[in-house]
Amino acid sequence: MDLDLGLAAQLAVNGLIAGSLYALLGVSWGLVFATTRIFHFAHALTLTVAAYVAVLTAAAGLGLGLGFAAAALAGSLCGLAIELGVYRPLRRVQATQLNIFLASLGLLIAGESVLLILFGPEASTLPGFPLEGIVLGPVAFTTIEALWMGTAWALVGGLVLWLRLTRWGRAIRAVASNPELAQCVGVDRARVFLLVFAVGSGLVGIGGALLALRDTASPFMGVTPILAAFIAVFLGGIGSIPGAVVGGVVLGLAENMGGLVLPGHWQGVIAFVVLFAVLVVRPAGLLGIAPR
Amino acid sequence: MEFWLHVLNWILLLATLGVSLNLLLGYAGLVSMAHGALFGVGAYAAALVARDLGVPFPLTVLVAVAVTTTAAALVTFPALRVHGEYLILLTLAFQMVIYGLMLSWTDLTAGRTGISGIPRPRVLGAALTTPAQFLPLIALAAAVAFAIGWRIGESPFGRVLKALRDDERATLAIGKSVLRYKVAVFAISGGLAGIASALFAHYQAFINPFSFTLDRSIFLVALVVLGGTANLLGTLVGAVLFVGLPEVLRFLEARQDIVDAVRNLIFGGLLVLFMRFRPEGLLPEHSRLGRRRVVVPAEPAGAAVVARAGSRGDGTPALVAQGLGKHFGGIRAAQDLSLALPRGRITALVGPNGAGKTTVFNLLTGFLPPESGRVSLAGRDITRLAPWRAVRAGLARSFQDVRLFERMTVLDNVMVAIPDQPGERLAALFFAPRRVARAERANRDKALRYLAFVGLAHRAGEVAGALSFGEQKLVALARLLATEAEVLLLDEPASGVDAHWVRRMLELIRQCAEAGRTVCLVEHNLEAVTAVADHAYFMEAGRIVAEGTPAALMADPRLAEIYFGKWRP
Amino acid sequence: MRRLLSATALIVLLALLVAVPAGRVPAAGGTLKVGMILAMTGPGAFYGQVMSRGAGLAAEQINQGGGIEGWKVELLIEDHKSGDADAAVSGGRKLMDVDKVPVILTSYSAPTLAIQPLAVEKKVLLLNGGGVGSALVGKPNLYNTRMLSSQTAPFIIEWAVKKLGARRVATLFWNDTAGQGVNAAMKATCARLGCQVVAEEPHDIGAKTYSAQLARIKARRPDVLALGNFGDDVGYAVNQARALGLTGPIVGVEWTPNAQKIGGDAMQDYTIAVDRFDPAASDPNTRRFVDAYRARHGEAPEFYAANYYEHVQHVLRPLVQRIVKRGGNPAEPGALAAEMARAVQEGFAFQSVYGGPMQLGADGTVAKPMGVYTVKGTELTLVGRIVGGKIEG
Repeated sequence: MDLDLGLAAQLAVNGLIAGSLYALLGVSWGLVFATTRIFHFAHALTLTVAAYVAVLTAAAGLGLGLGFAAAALAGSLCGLAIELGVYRPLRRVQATQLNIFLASLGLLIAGESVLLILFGPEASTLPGFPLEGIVLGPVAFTTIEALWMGTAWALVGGLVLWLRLTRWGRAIRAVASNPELAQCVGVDRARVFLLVFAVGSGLVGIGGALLALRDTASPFMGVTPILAAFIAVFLGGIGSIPGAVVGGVVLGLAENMGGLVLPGHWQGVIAFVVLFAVLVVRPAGLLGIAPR
Repeated sequence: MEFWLHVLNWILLLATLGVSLNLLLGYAGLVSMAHGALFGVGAYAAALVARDLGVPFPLTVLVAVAVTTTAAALVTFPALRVHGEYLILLTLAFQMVIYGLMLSWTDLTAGRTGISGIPRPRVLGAALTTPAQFLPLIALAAAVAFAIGWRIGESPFGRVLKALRDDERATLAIGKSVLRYKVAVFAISGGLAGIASALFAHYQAFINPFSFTLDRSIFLVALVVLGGTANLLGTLVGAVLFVGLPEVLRFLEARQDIVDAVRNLIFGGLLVLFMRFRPEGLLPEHSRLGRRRVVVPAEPAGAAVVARAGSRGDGTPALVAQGLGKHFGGIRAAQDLSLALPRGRITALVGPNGAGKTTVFNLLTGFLPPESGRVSLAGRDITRLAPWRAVRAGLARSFQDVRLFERMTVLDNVMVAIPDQPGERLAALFFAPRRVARAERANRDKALRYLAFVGLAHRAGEVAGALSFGEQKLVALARLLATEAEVLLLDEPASGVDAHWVRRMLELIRQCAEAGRTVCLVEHNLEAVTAVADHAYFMEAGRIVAEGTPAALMADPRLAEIYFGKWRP
Repeated sequence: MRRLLSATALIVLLALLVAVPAGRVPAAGGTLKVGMILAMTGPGAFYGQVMSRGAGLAAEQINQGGGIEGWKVELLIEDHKSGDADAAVSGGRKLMDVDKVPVILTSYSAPTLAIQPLAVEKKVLLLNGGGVGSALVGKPNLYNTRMLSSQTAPFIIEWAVKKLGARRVATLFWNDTAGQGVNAAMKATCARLGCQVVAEEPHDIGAKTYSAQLARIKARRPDVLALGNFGDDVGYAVNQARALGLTGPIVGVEWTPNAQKIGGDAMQDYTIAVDRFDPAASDPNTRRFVDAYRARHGEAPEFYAANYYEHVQHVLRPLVQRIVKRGGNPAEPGALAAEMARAVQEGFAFQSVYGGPMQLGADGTVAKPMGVYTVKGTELTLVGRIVGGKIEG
């Protein structure tokens, strides 16, 4: 099959749309991971809880805007609760990285079950946003997807600025790059941890609401997008926020541009093949920041 | 009745998979989130060759084992370079790729519809169909898997795996090829999973991707961890509890959807609580079960145990380094470094913080490849040798931060370092068990003598992590001696402990030198250096700026200024 | 002497144990245990719920009327977690071994295929009213009371060509045997009627995003999009096809109220050919079911509820009647399966809750009344009947 430019353009746009969400999710998880070194699988739970909060808020007639705000807040609170209720006690007893990871998995399994008992297995829709098609020459996308891109890039940009320009942002970067040194110069590690959980979880909360807006909310919705976040972070290189952004976009493009040569249902496999390849060839990630 | 036999078969199948994973996760500390996929790869291989190529039953097991072993080795290749969270992610990627292939490569796997009509095994002309008929076969497979797992796990080989789990660098530093052990344990684990997978395919007579999901991988990890890592009996108990009990819930008069959700809630909750309150699992690694008490031999151990046959403390150079160079980015960590360690003498490396003393050790032992220069040991060029090979050649080092294998016993910490143990070779383990047992008894005595030398034989049975810092340093010395290396590089042996321990340590080091071993130490405690060292090199900013007797160096006001700063008179 | 006495006692005891069950021939009925293995949990839990409601309603009606020739019906439900074969096998083993059921109602292709070998060994009759994969055809003991999608797919392509002027057709289908069966049937029909299949895109079951497939389809400029997917996926696919600027007609083989909710306005004019259950039909069998269901659950029954109601009320009832008439015991292992084979062999006309008869084939397929329906507002409207393999519209 010869290269079809219209198809390539449409797939590229699809890739950018998916990639901007991956970038947002990647940044939200990468911030937590780079700073705390916790393989925070339960981030998927935070995403789902926030999505349901958005659905409940909107269903109560409070509007979509408030729904998003509530999702961000719920995400933050959920993340803080996990850090204070699970991770911090585990660190206190000197749990290994592996044990913390397993606890995170357990938390996800338990949390999903609670959501299942509360809301049932059916998907719940998040109404309130006018879904229209936008057609620009050979490419088309929906208003929801336009919102995805706008929101994701605004948040990612805001986060990068915040990390660079504010005192707390610099403290986070200090802990992420060298925890011992940061402690020496008087950065309070415990408070920085709380901060990244609040910020990262708030961001993933908005990501959850965006997902619910396009694809509905259900108890097991969280894992797949969080796997994409892992991939974005490791593609870009741990500890690098711009890396996670690049990783997310590359992932979105790879998944979709794969459609030029492969049928679309191979999308899910492509993502993990890319990850596998990068881990094998360049374990430090595409941007080449060496793992510690 | 038949239903409960079916449940029993399931328990045994999952316990077999659990044993396979426990070898990786519990013994070697290598996380695999891909065991569900590995299980699937074997099941599909067995199902397809049985149904489409007409391969008969026992052969299908061999096919499955071959395929899963290969698949596991495929994961190994990149996994050798990555560890920790990278390994989690890498195996996760493998799991997802395999699951995706099962779903999407419909020409081969028929996707979600699955493969039906898998032939039942024929034994003595009759097809096995019922759970009761399958039970002996599955029980046999489980028994074989347990036996292999047990033999490997509780052997010198398994001891190295545990060392690898507790500290990979320290394992290299006692002369074990981490690479070989990783490849071997991945392959064995894959093979054991293959046995279970082929039986599963024949037993169920139908497979589809649903049995091989990420959820199954996660379940297996949880099963192993909750049952008890590095304890195979724990895995069996875990399988009974977490596979068997839920089947009892089937008989509850309650809504199944709620029962299912509550079961998962309890399962997830248990995982969190166990990690917080009982991370070692239901049956911990060092349970009393099946473990002999350590009996300390009556024979008193003097410095004799430390002496290596044929080593003479004649002062001729044992190790020579010439013109070593290394830089990190713009920082010169080592520049034109040359030094010689005379046989049977104690040489010290001193200098201010950041002078590059530990870097020198890393360059000498192969932990860091030098950019220029040459290291030779007794005339043999060892510059490009991997760290574990350097140890085998006779050059071993200790670490500033001790790096004991903290979850192993004190005795195992020392035993694991003894070179050339027959029980470290898989072939010998299974085909020459008498020789292995004999060597094991001898090595045990040897290790106890090293421990007696440092005065800790009475604590041989304790978990190393439970010892005080001073005691840990002594165990580390015993472990270093057990490598039988001629040249010993000691990184700050006397730091971080009080005067009592310092004296004891220095006395032992002196005895080592007297017994003919060559010692080089990096030390901050200048009193200690003056007390034991025959000769000292003074380093500053990656260079050797002076050498001489410690006393002479201390007396040099210029060096004192570098060392202590200008404020000192 | 004592020993002799106790030996005698033991022999008598044993004899009693053997004799009692053998002597207890049920003259006027008993309890017929009917097993069900459904999606009670997981993403398909909605289907498990309506299926068990349908069968439950039939059992209730039968038991209130004194049973089938004195035989009361008891339902035993196990969960296959929306397609997990392992769970289905465990549940099936329990039903067959512990409960000794002579019949199991199943759903989904994979769980059904997973327990089919067991059912043959245990001589248990299997009735499937949910799964639509072509792998379900020609399996001993298994009868499908839902038309396979490859049976209905040709008619929707015929409709598309004749009424919608389709020349370039693109297909988007489940990547499993059900979806592939639809795709193959659509291609064959297209070849026969002179249209061209310009794009064939499989997708994962339960996919939420179709942008890659739809982009590839759009690039081939089809005039009709034909779906070979089921459940909620129909709603997502139609919605996204419209959003991505595919403006031509969309046709398919399934519609559910939930898919309608998900698809919303985009579902307008979506057209299917299907053996569709119409809750508004005036047929007395339909009314007896729909009115009772509505009274009990407060809503009109679903197509899936109807199929499992039909299993108990219109398949099992006549089978039990035939067995009893012959003096047999329907609860005996193999009796129902054998009777089903005999009835099919004779061409017995089972009634359908859809109205009229349904014809079961020896290969386990069924022929039911069919029609072409199109979405108007939020409901399906009948636009053409399919009688004797011909569309009348």
